[in-house]
Amino acid sequence: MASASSPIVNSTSAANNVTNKKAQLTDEIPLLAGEDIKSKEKDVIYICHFNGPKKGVVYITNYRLYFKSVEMDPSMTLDIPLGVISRVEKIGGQSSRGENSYGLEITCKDMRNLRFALKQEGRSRKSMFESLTKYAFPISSGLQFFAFENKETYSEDGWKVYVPIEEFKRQGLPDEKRKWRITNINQNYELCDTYPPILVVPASAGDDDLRKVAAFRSKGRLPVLSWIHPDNQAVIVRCSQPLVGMSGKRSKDDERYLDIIRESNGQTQKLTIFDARPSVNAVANKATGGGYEGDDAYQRAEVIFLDIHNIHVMRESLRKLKDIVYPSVEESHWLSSLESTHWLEHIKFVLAGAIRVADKVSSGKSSALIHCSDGWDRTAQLTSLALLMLDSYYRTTKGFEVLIEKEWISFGHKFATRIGHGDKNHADADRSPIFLQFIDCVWQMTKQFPTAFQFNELFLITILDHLYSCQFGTFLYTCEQQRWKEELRKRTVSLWSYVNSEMDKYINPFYTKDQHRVLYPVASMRHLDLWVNYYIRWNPWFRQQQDPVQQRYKELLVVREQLLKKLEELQISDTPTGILPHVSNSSPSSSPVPVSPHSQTML
Amino acid sequence: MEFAELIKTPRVDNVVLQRPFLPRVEGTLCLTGHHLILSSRQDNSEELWLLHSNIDAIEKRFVGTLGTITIKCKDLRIIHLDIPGMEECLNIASSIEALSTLDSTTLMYPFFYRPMFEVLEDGWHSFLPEHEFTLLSVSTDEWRLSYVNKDFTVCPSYPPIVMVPKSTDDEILKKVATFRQGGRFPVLSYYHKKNGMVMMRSSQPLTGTNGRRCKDDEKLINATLWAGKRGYIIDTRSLNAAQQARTKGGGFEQEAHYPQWRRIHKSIERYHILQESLIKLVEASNDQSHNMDRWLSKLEASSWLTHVKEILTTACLAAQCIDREGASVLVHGGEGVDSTLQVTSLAHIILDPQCRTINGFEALIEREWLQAGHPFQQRCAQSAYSNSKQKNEAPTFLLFLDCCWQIQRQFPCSFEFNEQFLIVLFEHAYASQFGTFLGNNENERRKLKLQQKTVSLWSWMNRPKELEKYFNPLYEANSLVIWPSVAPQSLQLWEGVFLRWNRSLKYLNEAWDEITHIVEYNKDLQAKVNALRRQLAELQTED
Repeated sequence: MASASSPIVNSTSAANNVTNKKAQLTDEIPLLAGEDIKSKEKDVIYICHFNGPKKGVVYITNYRLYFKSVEMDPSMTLDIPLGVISRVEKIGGQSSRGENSYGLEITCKDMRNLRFALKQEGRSRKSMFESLTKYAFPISSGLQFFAFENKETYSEDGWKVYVPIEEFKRQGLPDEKRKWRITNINQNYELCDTYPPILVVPASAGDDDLRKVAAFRSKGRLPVLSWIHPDNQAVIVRCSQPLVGMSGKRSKDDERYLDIIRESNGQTQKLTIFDARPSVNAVANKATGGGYEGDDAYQRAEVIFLDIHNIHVMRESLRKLKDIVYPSVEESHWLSSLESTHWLEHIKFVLAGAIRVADKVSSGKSSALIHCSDGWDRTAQLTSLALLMLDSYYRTTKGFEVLIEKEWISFGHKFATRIGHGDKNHADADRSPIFLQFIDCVWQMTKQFPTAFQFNELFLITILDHLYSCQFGTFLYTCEQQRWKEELRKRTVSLWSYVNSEMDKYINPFYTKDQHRVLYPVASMRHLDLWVNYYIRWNPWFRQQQDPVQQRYKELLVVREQLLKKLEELQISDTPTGILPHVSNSSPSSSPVPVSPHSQTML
Repeated sequence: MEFAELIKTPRVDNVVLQRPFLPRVEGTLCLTGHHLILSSRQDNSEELWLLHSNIDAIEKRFVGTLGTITIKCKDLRIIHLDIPGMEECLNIASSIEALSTLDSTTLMYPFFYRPMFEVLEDGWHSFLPEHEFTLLSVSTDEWRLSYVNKDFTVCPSYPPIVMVPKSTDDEILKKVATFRQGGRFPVLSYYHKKNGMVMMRSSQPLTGTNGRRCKDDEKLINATLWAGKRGYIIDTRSLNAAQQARTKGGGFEQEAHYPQWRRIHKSIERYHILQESLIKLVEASNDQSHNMDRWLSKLEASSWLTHVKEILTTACLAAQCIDREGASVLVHGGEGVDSTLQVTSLAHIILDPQCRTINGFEALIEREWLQAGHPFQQRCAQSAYSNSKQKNEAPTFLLFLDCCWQIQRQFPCSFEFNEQFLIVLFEHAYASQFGTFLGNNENERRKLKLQQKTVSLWSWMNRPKELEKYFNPLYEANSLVIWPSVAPQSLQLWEGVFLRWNRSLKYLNEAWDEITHIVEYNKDLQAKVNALRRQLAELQTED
C-alpha cells in the first residue's frame, strides 16, 4: 500500500530509447533499418515479477527480443536489445508439474532478469532458446554484431565528435614553451598495441627513449599526456605499472622520463604518482613482474596508493547490489544491506582518488602520473573523473562524448572483455562493471552540482543502455587497433550520431554556462546516494524522483520560447503605427531579445 | 530576577569565533539577557547574534589559559569560541549555562522582543476556528462549533472552540470527555469535500482492564457515519501496546461496543524512543572521523528513517480509508497529542491541496498542532545535544516536518513552499523571538497572555518581503490527492537539516536561483505580451 500512485504496466522505458523514430512497423513490431525478424513464438507467457504472468507473442530479431501481450487492455510490450542478455537458461523439464514452471530464464546485464514460460508440448522452447542464443551471442555463434547490419541514418555523424588533434589543440597543445610534442609514433600500433595512434609525450624524449620506456611498462603502456592545465601547465599523465618484478628491476630511461614530466611545468618538488591500487596489491603484483615506482629508483617521485579494488571485487559488489534490488527490493534492513554490498564505498574510493588528482594538479600546481596495473580500468576512471572536475568543457554534452572517446575508448578500456559483447561465456572472470561505476560517479557529481553539467540523467542512462545494446559501433572491441582492422567507422554507426540527433532530450535545464571552476564533490558516504533511477528502474513501484522538476522546467522553457515568439510578432505588428513607446521601456529587467546570460540555458 | 545577576562577565575582547563555512571572526563577545553577541566592530562584517534559548549544550576546554567554548545549538549547528583568559572563559560558560536554562517562560525572549518591522497582519488573528468553520459550512451542515471548553474545564489541552457533530450536544461532550484520556473527546480534524468523509481525532478511551464502556462516546462517533457505512479507527499504537495501556486505565474501542468500526493498529514510536533516535542520528551525522564506512549502518541503527516510514505509512492508511475506501476515520494513540497529530496532519497534506500552500500549511500547523494541544514547550525543550536529564522531550514535530519534506521531494511541483520554509519552522519551534510555539496548549498560552505580550511568528513570516524566501518557483497547484512512496529506497535523510552544517549547500542553492530566475523572466515576458496585446486591441478599436 501507499506506494506510487499509478504504477505503469511494466516494460519499455529505457529499452524504448533504442526504438528510433524512423523505425518501421512490420508485423506490428518496431524494426530498425537492417533489422529483421528471425523467429516468432506464440503462446509464450512472460512472468512479470511485478504484475504477474502475461500471455503473448515473442519475436526475436537480429537485434531485439520483443514481447507483445495478447491482452489489449492494457496491452503490454517488452522491448529488449539482445546485447543486454548475458545468459539464457532453461528452467523446468518435461516432468515439471507446477504452473508456468517450464520455460526460459534470461539474465540481463542491466540489473534485471526475465522469465518466460512456454508449453511443454511442441518444440517452442527449443526454438526460442536456439534463436536467442544464436542472435544474443553472435560472436559465440560465428555471426557479426548487429552494429554492422544497422542501416539507420542520422543527421549527425558521431564519428566526427572526437578528433584527437583538435582536442589537443583545444587544450593548448603543443604548448608555447614546447615542453610537449604530439607524435605519430604509434600510428601502426607498434609502440603500444592498445594505445591510440596519436600520443602526446615530453618534447625532450626522443622516439628511442619512448621505446625504451614502453619496454619497461606493462603491455607497453608508457606514460603519455591526458590533460594539461591551461594556467600552471601541470599535466595528468597516464600509463601502466612499471615492470619492477621481484628482483626490483630498474630502468634509467623510465626514471629520466618521469623526471622530465616532473620538471615540465617548472616544478622542482616531487612528482606525484597515484597508484590506484591498494598498496598490498601493488606489492603482490611484483610476483607477476609488475610493481610500483620504488623510493630508491625514483627519488624525486612520491607514490600515493588510492585503495581502489580490482575488477573482481567490483563485479562481486554489483552482483550483491542486484540481489537486494531485483526482483524484489530489500525492505527491512535496506540501509545495512546496501552497505554490505560495498557498492557506494567503492564509488567513494574512486571519487576520492579523482579528487586528490584534481587537487594536486589545480591547487598543488604539480603534475600527476596515474596508473593501476594495466592502466585501462581504474586509471581510466581516475583520469576521466579528474578531467571532469578540472575542465568544464568535459561537462558539456560534446565534451563528455569526447572524454569517453578519449580516456576510455581510444586508450583501450577493454569494453568487449569487460562487458562480454556477443559472448555467451557469462561467467567470464574478465567481466566487470568498471564503466558503469564511472558513470555512477558522474551521476553522483551531477547530483552535487546540479548546474554544472549540460547533460541530464537520461543521457547517462542512454549511454549505459547502449554500452550493452551492440546497436552502435562505439563501445565494440577493446582497442583502436582492432577497431581500425574491423573498419568500425566505415561499417557501423556511432552512438553519438544517434544521441546528437535528438539532443533536446538530454539537456539539463539547470545548466549554467561559463563555470570554469574546479568541482570538488564531497566523497563522504553521507553525501553519496544509490542511483535509484538506474538500479531500481525496472521496479514499477519506484517513482522517478527527478522527473517532475525536469518536466516542469522544460515546460517553462517552452512557454518562454512561445512568449518570446509572440512578443516578437506583436512588436512587428506594432511598429508601423509608430505611436507606442518601444516595448523594452515598459520593463527594465530584460530586453525583448534574450540577452541575459541565463537565457543561454534555453533549449 | 535581574538578568544581570546571571551575567558574570558581560564583555570579553579578542574572542575568536569559528562557524561552519564562514571565515573565522575575531571580535568582542557580549552577553545580554537573551543573546550571545560577537561583533568584530567593523562595518559590513557579519556578526553573530545567538539566542541563549537556542543553546542545547556547551563544553569547555583549556589549552594553557586559552579556553574554548563549544556551543551546540538546538538547530544542530556547532560553533566554537576561543576566549583568552581562564576566568573569563569560565564566567562566560557558566553565564551561558544559566541563561540558556531559565525555568520561567515569561523570562524568555519573546516577552522582550519588539518587532523592528511593521505588522501588516497580526498573526495571532490569522487563523481563527470560526473562519475554518465558515469554510466547512459551504460543504456540509452536519457539524457545529462547540464552546463547551471555553474555560478549558472539559479538556485542558483543547482549544476553547472545537468542531463536533451537530447532533451531539455539549452535555454529551462533557460525558464523553470523562471517558477519554485528558478529556480529549473526538473532534473533527478534516472533512473530505470529494466524498463527504471525515477524519476525527481524540485520545484513547478509558476502558481499563474491566472493559468500561461509554454509550455517549459510541453515539458521538457513530453520528459521523452515514447509514449502513462502516468507519475505521486507526490506533497509532501496536495492539500489544494498546492492550497494555488497559492496566493503566486506558485502552481501545472493543469490537462489541463499536460494531460499525474496524480498528487497525499501527505502531508509531513516541517520547524518549524518538528522542534517542534523534540523538543517534545527529551523532552519526556529525561524526568527523574519516572512517565513515559504517555510515549507512549507523543511519539505520538510529531508526530515524524507520520512524519517518511508520508515520508516513499510517498517514497514507488514514488517507486511503477516506479517499479510496470512502470511509470515515477516527485517529488516536494514547494521549492524542503526538503520533495522532502527526498522522492527521500528514493525511491533510496528502488529501487536501490547500494544505500544500503556504497559508494552508500555516493554518494546518495552527489547527492540528498548536490548537490541538501538542506540548511544544515540553517536546522542544532540548534537542539532540543536551546532557541534562530528559523529561518530556521528543522530536515529534521535527519528524512531521521531515515527513513533509519527503513528500515534497517526491512531488516537487505540488507545494507552494520550499524546503527553507520547513527548516524555518523547525528552528522556531526550538528557539524563537516569537511567541507562537511557547506554552503547551491554548490554555497555557492564554495564561501567559502571549497574544498581548509577544509577536506571532506568522506576523513576521507573512510579510511579502519575507514570504518571497519561501516560494517554490516550480509550484503549480495540483488538485489531486498525492500518494507518497514509503519504500525505504524512496526515503532519504533530510540533508537540509541534518547535514547542513557539514556540507555547503551553495551549489544546490544556485540551481534554485536559476529556476527562480527563469520563472520570473517568464512572468515578465507574459506581462509584456499581455500589455502589447491590450495596446494592439486598443489600436484596432481606434482604427
